This record gives sequence, C-alpha cells and structure tokens, in this order.
Amino acid sequence: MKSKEDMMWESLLAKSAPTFAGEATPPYGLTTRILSAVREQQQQQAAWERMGLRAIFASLAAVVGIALLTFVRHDPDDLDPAVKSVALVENVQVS
Amino acid sequence: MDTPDDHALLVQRWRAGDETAGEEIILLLYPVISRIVRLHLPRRDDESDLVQEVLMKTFSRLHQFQGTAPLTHWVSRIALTTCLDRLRAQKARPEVRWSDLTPPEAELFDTTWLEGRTASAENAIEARDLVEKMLAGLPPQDRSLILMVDLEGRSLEEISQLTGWSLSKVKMRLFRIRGHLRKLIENWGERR
Repeated sequence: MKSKEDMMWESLLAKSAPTFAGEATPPYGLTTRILSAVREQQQQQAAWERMGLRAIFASLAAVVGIALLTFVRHDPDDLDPAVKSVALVENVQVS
Repeated sequence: MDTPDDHALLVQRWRAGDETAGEEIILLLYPVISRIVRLHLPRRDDESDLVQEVLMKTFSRLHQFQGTAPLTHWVSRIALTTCLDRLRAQKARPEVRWSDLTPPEAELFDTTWLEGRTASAENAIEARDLVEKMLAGLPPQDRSLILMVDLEGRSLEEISQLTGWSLSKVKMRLFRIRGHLRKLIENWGERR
C-alpha cells in the first residue's frame, strides 16, 4: 500500500508533467546552424584524411627511394674506407 | 515515415548529399531530443546547448545507423548518454529545507498534502519547482532515474539497458531514492 508521502510525490509529479514535455519544432535557425556545422565538420575531417593519406604516400615514397638507392648502387668492392686503407697498406688482394 | 526502413532511406539520402534529408532528420529527431533533455536536465540549466550537442553527435554517428530500429530509438540512447555524461560532471546540491520554499511553493505543498492524490493541471510551474527542490539533494543520476520510472513510465529492464547499470543496481538506487523522498516529504509535512 502506498504511503501518503508516495501519493504526494505522484500528485506533484502529475501536476508538473506538462513542464517536462519537449518542444515539437526546432527554434528558428537551429536547422541551418546544425547543418552548416555538420558540413564544416565533414569538410575538416575530409581535409585531415587527405593530409594523412598524403603523408603516408610521401613516407612510402621516401622509403622506396632510399631502398632503391641502397640496393641499386650497392657495389660489392665498395669497402668501408678504414678496411680499404688497411687493404692498401698491407697489399691484400680483395676480390 | 516512421518505420526503420523509411529512416534508413532518409539517412541514405543525407549521406548521398541531399540537404533536405538533413532538415527532415532534424525535424524528426528534435521533439525526441528536446523531451529527453528537458526531462533529465534541471530546469534552470541551458537545454539548447545540450540539444545541439546531441544533434551534432547524431550526425557524426549516422554512418553507424543500421536501420534495424527506428532512428528515434537509436537517438534516444545518444541523448540519454549525453545527458548522463553532463550530469556526471555536476554535483548534488544541498538538500532544500522547508524554509527555502517560496510562499506559492509552500502553499502548493499544503494543498497537495490535504488533497491527497487529486492532481489538477493548475500550478504546473510551481509544482515543477517543488519537484526540482525535492530532487535537489539527490545525485544527478538518481534524479534522472526516478523521473524515467515515475514520469516516463520506463521499465527497470529498459533503464538497465539504456544506462548499462545492472538490474539490481537500478532497483537498489530506486529503493534509496524513494526512501529519501518519503523522508523529505514527511519532514516538510511535519514542519508546515
């Protein structure tokens, strides 16, 4: 069984119920404001994505370039300068 | 225009760049968001900021909408979690005493005390202020919980799903809130 306090609470809540009802239509200008903010956000996001992709491609290109320079220009006779000088002094045959 | 398929089509149009679909989405969702925000936010707080925040979140997550439930249900969850996040940052205010009530609020309390259950549509604003003062001493999330149950008529299972709280936690909190309200009303009733 409900106490008098419970009934009091229910009664006050029922009286105040209309003030909790939401609005049916958005205030003037809200729709335009939201849509332009959303579009701006999307454009910003797209710009960041483009920048990110460009950075990834640039890094990949740099890695490929360095790899090519390393392997294509590799000469087995091309010794370290220190080793080369020792070989010259001692007259070691390097093949 | 109320089925999940209709809503999925609307979202598809928006994603394809149809600006009018965006307007239709806002017109469809605004009443739902406005109702939830108004219910969960104390009356003096600025609700327009929160409504905008919910709408922005909704648009940024529209690509996740599957179309298995109506868009309005899907948005209810976003609106509720946004409100609860906002409330989490707030602290419970000190409990309101009988002497803190304005004369119209005290008068309304007296008449309701004598009337019992009879509820009239008059004095809705004063009744709302009185309700807010009764809830003021509660943690903000408890305030939301009692209103979801007593005003919206949501089931405990539904609240458990929406908030992510266990059913026993919901029941325990509700029990504590009811005890708090009973004690407060009893105190006010004695001090009239």
